[in-house]
Amino acid sequence: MTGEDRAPGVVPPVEEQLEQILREAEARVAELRRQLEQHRLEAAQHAEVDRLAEYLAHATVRWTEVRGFFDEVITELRFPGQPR
Amino acid sequence: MTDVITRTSAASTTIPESTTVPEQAPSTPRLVSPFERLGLRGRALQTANWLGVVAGVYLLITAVNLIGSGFKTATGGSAETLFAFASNPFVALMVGILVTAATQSSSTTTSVTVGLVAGGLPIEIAIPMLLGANIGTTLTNTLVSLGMVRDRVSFRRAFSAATVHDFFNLIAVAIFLPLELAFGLLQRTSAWVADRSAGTDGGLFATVFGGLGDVISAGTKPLSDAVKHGTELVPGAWHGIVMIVIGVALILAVINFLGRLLKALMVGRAATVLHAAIGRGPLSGVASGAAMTVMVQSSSTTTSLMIPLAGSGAFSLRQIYPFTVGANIGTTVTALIAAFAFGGAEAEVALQAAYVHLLFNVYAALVIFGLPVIRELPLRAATWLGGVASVNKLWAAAWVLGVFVLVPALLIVATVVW
Repeated sequence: MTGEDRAPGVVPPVEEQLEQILREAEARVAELRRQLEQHRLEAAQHAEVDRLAEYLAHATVRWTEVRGFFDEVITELRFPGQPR
Repeated sequence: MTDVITRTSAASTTIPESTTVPEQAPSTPRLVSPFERLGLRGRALQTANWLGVVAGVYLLITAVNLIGSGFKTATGGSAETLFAFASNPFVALMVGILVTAATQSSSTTTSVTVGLVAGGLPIEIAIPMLLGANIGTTLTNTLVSLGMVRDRVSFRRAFSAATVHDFFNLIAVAIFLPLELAFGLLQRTSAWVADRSAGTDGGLFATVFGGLGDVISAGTKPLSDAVKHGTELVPGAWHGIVMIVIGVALILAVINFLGRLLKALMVGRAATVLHAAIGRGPLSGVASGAAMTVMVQSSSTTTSLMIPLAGSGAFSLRQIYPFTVGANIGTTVTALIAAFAFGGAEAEVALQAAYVHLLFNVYAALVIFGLPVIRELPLRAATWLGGVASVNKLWAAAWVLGVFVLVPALLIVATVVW
């Protein structure tokens, strides 16, 4: 006998009540976890934005790094498969 | 209930994907205004910075005016002849890409184009060049992302964040260049808006806008004329070419100078805008990207600063994407400012060129970002390219050299030769 086909006023068995509480609690916990995860992520994002001055100061192409990248590519082409 | 709590606390806690600080994390802690190097501090520095911005805008407008005058002098009223090589819209597009990639500033390309249009360059040639500027400007953040190559995960995220901008702008051109060639979509709508805002029968708005433009162009004309007279010794068409070269050099220098000043002045406000956008939807991302780009007058700067934010894992590609779309719209303000270099009939065509850039980016945002099916394309393409490039760097090298150098150069050469 499930909760749906029970006559009105009849109290469900304890086991069923506990299962219902468990389901609700688990749903709530899942929601709290999602919120906590979102909060942590946003906190990390705010922390990154707090460093905006640094990022803005470096928002330019650094040609030594670009050259280093192409040097690596050329090395990979010359000696394929070698660990670097 | 106790049972429930016990089970919950015993369960493994879901920890968000850890964020890794890239090797290339910035080490310089603050922005330095050029005036700070002169020893200015506090209120004096702030005042000098703002006066510098005003002077910079004045010089920018003067330089654009100089380019317009120089182009007229050089072509003697037959601008089509000088730009005959770019009458093929694909070549004009590639010119826009190459020039912007070389200068790393779409603002420079669009401002120069506005000046050229006022000087007689047909708008049909200017439109593909302005579209090309949008593609060329994406090179900067792609090059910035190459600096993260030593950490594979950071590089994958950073390269995807950079190329989502590339793909968005490539798709935008793939949609709107054919529409332009077939129906003159941008030419017609920009002409209509320019007529309403600067034309002779545009009503009160056009009167106010036109009056403001006349005042500004009257203020910048003396310096432009002084340079023109100062270079009169150069004979014939070369006189005009010298004026254009001076104008372009001035724009490059001024945009660089303005960028450094505005970064120092606006970093606080920019951070406030970004903080406000966190946790909100993609429209906030678009708005914050546009606002921030208007503040620093450079889409390259705003999109490049997102690279370390994406590389560290703090911001997802899906969060970076709307920001870059907003940056596209924000950067169009420079061309609108440049259009104030001219008065009368020249003002209307200059403004039309500036509106082409604005409308193209607004249309692209509405169509590509507005339609869910197309919206996902840049994300998927960038995710894929970031993945393969992080495994094999040759993909990244081929992308950078192919899209921004080889294909544009080969198309131009092929058109000139045949």
